[in-house]
This record gives sequence, structure tokens and C-alpha cells, in this order.
Amino acid sequence: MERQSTTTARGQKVRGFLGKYGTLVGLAVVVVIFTILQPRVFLTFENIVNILNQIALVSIISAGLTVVMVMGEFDLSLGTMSSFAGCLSVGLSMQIGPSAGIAVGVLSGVAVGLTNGSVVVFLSVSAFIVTIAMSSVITGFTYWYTGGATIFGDIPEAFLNLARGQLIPGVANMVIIMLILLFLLWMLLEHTIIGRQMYAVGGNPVAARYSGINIKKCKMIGFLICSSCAAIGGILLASRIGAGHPTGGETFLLDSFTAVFLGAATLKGGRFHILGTLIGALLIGVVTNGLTIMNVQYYFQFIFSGLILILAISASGINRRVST
Amino acid sequence: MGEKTVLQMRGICKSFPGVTALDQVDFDLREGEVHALVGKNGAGKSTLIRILAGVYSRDAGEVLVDGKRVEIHNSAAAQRLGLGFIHQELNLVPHFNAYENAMLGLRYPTNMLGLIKWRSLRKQIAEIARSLNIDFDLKSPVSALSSAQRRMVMIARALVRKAKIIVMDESTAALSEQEISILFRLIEELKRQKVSVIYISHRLEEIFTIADRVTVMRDGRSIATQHISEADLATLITQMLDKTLKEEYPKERIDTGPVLFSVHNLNAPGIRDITFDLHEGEILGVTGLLGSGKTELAQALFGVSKIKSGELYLGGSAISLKSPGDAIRQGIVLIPEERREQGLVVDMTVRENMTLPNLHKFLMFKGLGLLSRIKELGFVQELTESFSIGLSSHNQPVGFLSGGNQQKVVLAKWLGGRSRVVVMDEPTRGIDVGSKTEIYKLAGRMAEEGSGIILISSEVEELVGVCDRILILFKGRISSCLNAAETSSQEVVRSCYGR
Repeated sequence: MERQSTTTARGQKVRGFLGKYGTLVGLAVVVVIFTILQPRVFLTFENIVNILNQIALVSIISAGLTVVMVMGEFDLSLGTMSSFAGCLSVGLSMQIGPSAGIAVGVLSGVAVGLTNGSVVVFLSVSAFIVTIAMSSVITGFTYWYTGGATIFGDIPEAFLNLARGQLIPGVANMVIIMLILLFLLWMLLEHTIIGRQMYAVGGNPVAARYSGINIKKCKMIGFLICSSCAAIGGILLASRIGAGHPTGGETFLLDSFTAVFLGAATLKGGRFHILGTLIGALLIGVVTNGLTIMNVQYYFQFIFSGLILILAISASGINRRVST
Repeated sequence: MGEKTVLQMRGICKSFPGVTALDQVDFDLREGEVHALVGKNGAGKSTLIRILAGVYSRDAGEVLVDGKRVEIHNSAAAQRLGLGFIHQELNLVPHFNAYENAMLGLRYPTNMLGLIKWRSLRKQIAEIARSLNIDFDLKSPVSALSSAQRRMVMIARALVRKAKIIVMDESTAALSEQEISILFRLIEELKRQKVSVIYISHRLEEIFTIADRVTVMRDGRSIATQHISEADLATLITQMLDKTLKEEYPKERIDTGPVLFSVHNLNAPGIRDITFDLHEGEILGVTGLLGSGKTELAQALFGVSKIKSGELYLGGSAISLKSPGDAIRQGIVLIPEERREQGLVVDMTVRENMTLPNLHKFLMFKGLGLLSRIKELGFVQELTESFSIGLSSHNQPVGFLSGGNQQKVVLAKWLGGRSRVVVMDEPTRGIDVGSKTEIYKLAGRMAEEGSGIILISSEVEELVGVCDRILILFKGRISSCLNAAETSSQEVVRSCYGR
């Protein structure tokens, strides 16, 4: 009761509502709009599968990002990370085999995550600087490895099947991988000790330390998960398109931040969480898909993406934490 | 005290969803008067003040300043009416210095080129600082100042604004006895300048020194207004609690056991050559002036600050502390000084806060790192009941609770583990009398169960009433050790000043 600011009660109610149900309402609204505009295409089984395929990769990367954002950190290197892992895994799977290619791709994510984490934690450099710098380093490595060109050619079937294959008929493997990874990360954040500690670190690092929580460990694990998820997303992208594109993961950066912020405006008002992130990714997927169906020029999609991110941040209310 | 009434609040009502915070409250303030406002946490004092500050709008009633009806919609309006506020939580910009913070929100005087006239501005503020006996560097950022010094910056800020009515909310909570007397001298000076003060404090003793009249609030109502000469402590407490509080300090002397924790020649930032023994079941008080090293001692014992030299023995074996995590594993816990900043994650729920330090105790199965919400709830339910923590749900963010209840949550955090040494740094600061008593009882309960309690406090009566022994710190060293049963508040205070 004693935590209202000068904003009026009504304004607060509206914000509170938006903070909790904004993303869901938004999702419902765009679904209704596209259903009305494209009744024969939009709400069909094929198109829904299509949307799921489209959001699988961004969901995985966003879920990883959610883990670091829970602790008040973030990772701007995840876009280039996914490009690099994609190129590396395609290239290596042609040279030394698909499983080795995939494994090394994921390990590159682990390595970058540990580096990001170490610099943030042990050298106390802000994640903003560290991950932007890391982004440039990774881009350099990507161009070095690829020579600046898209890697394609005789890619092993097994590698392509990683994303495209259908272990369950009708559902692409990448959707299944997404669901499994998201479930694991959801368990991690909501139901394990380390997850609870991560939320505490994000909520109040001093109180977390005074409660005996090893903040450095939490953050290291967070950065590791984030970069690994970015790498996995990049590998799946390469598998889906059948090529390693040096800038293939570029759009993941903005989309994953949008998904995470939209997620914070879902059900838990201002708190980052995996289910919210999934719903956020879904909203982005539906908008992109709807615009594509309606033959809206691709450049409008960039404009929409940016606008949605701004909307998401204001609705999530991240900037108005409990302050009294 | 003049006869002119400068502020009148009549029939003020305010409710929030589900709560009536204020119910027909009357309050008035005369020119040059110090009018104390007392009551338990949640009695409605802060709400009343926030209506005055334009933070909340009232549902009914009227506010008159200098006899004229006024509407205060925002803080700018309050400032125009000559109202100045010094809240419990100071709103200072940490990396601004005292000058900049004093000027915060004001128009800086500028010269023809639009540049700030720093020289005259500094001179003006320095003069105010001098009248407050401020001796710290006004040019250093306030983040480098102690909490007492920050409060002085706030007072200077109100004076820069030439406020005619100053509201002080728990202004002495963070101050040492010496600084309180400086503050009181300042208030006397304000009175001479016909400035009126609304003085909110949980330290009932001090209002008899400083206030002209006192109004008691309880459950959102103004219960009584009386001249200070007609009031006495017992009556005030009765009015606040609506039940006679027989013993404020429920100390049950229990026989202390063998030595539990020994500190030998401990040197750490802010403290030197600290040596003492803590026995099982003992409540050891620690006090001293501000800057004497009380909090620094707590931080060294909890592994927050680096120990330079010295030995610590717990249960006979030597221990080393490199982080709070180390201390907790050894069974040394800290109830920190700043409960919102250090003790709690305010936007996490009561349940999540209470179980935070001991999460491994709430696992579904051993080995698998999954938390069991049922086990957590069982623990939380038991503690909220036995601590009588007032809350509507265990999934309520802890930031919504009153100060006293928040502090109980901080204490409850540590009851889940095997806490052998409990260091409490100012555990009763800024909380109401009823909650204080319960916190003493809790400390007593932990002692009874064999823990050793180190109670750091600047409230001398509290130490004499609750502790077995009292260590006095002076400039980072232990200057004396008093037996609580044989000493008096006066003696403790004298020792604090190094006499």
C-alpha cells in the first residue's frame, strides 16, 4: 500500500494490467487481425506448424538470454555467436563428420560463454562492453573461418536432419529440441536452487551475497548457458537452411531481446521467465508470419520488430521496480 | 511556540484497496512548534505525511496552510507551500556531492552567460553546513558519506529551500547520541527562526527532549494530542498499543554455556585488536558512537570485509572467513543493518526470501537439485505463525510488508539453518515497539537453543535490557566491557564517549 508513486491509481492499474497480460492480449489481437485479414491461410494447421518452425530457433536463443537477464546482465554477442557456431558446425561436419561438427559448434558457445562470464565476473567489466567487444571478436573469427562467404556444398544428411528431420511425423526436430531445452531451462530457473539464487542475484545482489550465494558462480553459469543456447540456435539454423551463413544469426539479437522483454510482460509483471519468453517469441513469430502472408515488404518487418521491442520494454515495466 | 496555526489537517481519510489507512485524522501545527507524531508501524503516520507531500491524494477532509485551504497535488506544490520533507529513506543522488544534492530540483543561480555561480552557491550552502556543525567534505560524493552524514545533507537541503514546515521522518534512526544532540540543537535553532517541525520517531524517549506537543496515531486514527509536559512514556506506549506493555525488554536470564566463539586480536577495516569470547546462550551487546567500528565488526565476522590479521575460533577450532558463504557454512550469520538493501530481495516473495540461505534444505529428493515448494511452505508457515508475521499470503512480495514484519522475515531466514553465532546489526532500527519486543524474544529463543547472539545497537536502553554483557567500541577498539545486570544506560553512554 505504501509504494505508489505520483502516477495516478488508474494509470497504475493500466500499467499493472499491461505488465501482466500485455503480451497475451497482444498475441490475441494479432491472431484475430490476421485471421480476419487472411481467413483461408492464417489459422491453418500448416501455417501453425510453420510458425512453430519459425520461432524454434529464436525461442532457444531467447531462453538462454532469459537466464542472464534474470540476473540483471545481458549478452549482445549472441547474434554473432550463433552465426559463428552455424558456420563452424557446417564446415566441420563436412570435414570430420556431423557429430563432431555439432559438438565443436556447441563447445564454441561454451568457450565464449565462459570468456564473457569471466571478464564480467572477475574483471568487473560491464556486460554491455564485454559482449559488444566479444561480438566483434566472434565476427572476426567467423570471417576468418568462412573467408566471408557462405559455406555450403555436400553437407551430410545427418547434419541437415538435426533441424529438418521429423522424429515425430509432422513436427520438425528443431521444434522438439526447442521444447526440451525450454523445459530444462524452465526447470532450472523455477525449480532448482541455482535458479532461485539467480533470481535473488538479479533482485538484490547485496542481499544475495549476504545470504551466502556465490554470485560469481551464478553469473558464470548464466553466461555459459546463454552463449551455448546461441550456439545451438546457430547450428540448427545452419542445419535448417543447409548452409553456414556468416551473418545468418544477425536478426536473432533484436528478436531475442524483444522476446525476453515481451516475456517479462507476461503473467508475472516485470519478471523475466521462460514461459513468458516463449510466448514473446510466439508473438514475434505470429506477427512476422502474418506480415509475410500478407505480402508486406520485408523492410516493414524490421520497422515492426523495432517498434515491438520498444513496446515490450515499456509494457514489461522493467524500469519501475519496487522502490520504497 | 507561537499561537498562530500554520498547518491544519481536518478529517483526513484515505483508503487503499482492502485497507483503510487513515480514518478522520486531525492534526495541527503551530508556528515554531515541534509536534511529534508517534505510533506503531502501519498506524498511518507515513500515509498522513505522504498526503501532505502530495504523493497521495486524500479521499476526504481538508488541509489548511496559514489558514487557507490548499490542494497539494505533487511535491512541487508542497514545496511552494513551504513544506520540506526528510524521509526515512533519503532520496539523494549517490554520486552527486553535498552541494549538488542540496540543490537537487532547485534552479541554480546563474550568471549572464548561463553558467552556474558555484562560488556564491558553495558559500551559501557552506554557511548552512556550518550552522549544522557539518565537518565532512561537502565536495565528496554522498555515496562516500555515512548514513548520518547523508541525513545531514538532507537537512541542509530543506534549509536551502527555506522551508517553513519541516517533516522529519525517523531522522535519528541512523544517528549516534552525539549526532542526535547536534540535530536537536539544530531543531532548537529552527524553532527560533519560527520554522515548525513535524517530528516522527520510534524513539519515544527522545521526543520528551525535543517536542512541544505529541500526537499518537493508532490504526489510522489520531488517538490523542497532548502537551509534552502532560505526557509520559508509559501513557504514550499504552495509547500506541491499546494494551499495557508491561515489559519492553522480555529478558529471561538463562545460564550461559561454555565458550562458543572466540575472537583474538582481530584487525580488519575499521576495527583494531578486537578480542572477546562469546558463550553459548549468551546475548553479547556491542555499542559505540557512529564510526566506532560496530558495523565494521559485523562485516568482518561475516566475511564481508577482509580480515587483515587475528584468529577466530568456533567451538574450539580455528576458522577462516573469506566470504559470507564461508561464514554461513560455519554457522555464523548476520542480520544486516540495512534490511532493504542487504537483508531482503524486496520483489521476491516472503517464501523465497525466507528460504534463500538454506535452499538445500528444501529439496524434493536428495541429490537432485529440485526444490520442493511444499517443504518450503511448511517451513514458512511455521515461522510466520511462531513469529506472528502479519501477511496475507506467503507469495506476497516482501517489499509490501511493514518494516517490523520485514525485519522478522530477515530473522526468520536464519532459523532454518544451524546458526551458531547470530550477529544482529541494529535489528530494531525504525520498527515499532511491538515488533521490537518480538525481535528480542526471538533473540532470546535463539540463545536458549544454544546459539550465541552478538547484538549490535545504538539504542542503549535496549542493550541494557536485553544483553548479558555489553562491549563498548571506541575508535575501532574495545574500550570496555560492562555487565548488563550491573550497569545503567548512563554508564553505557558515558563509556561510549570514551570516559
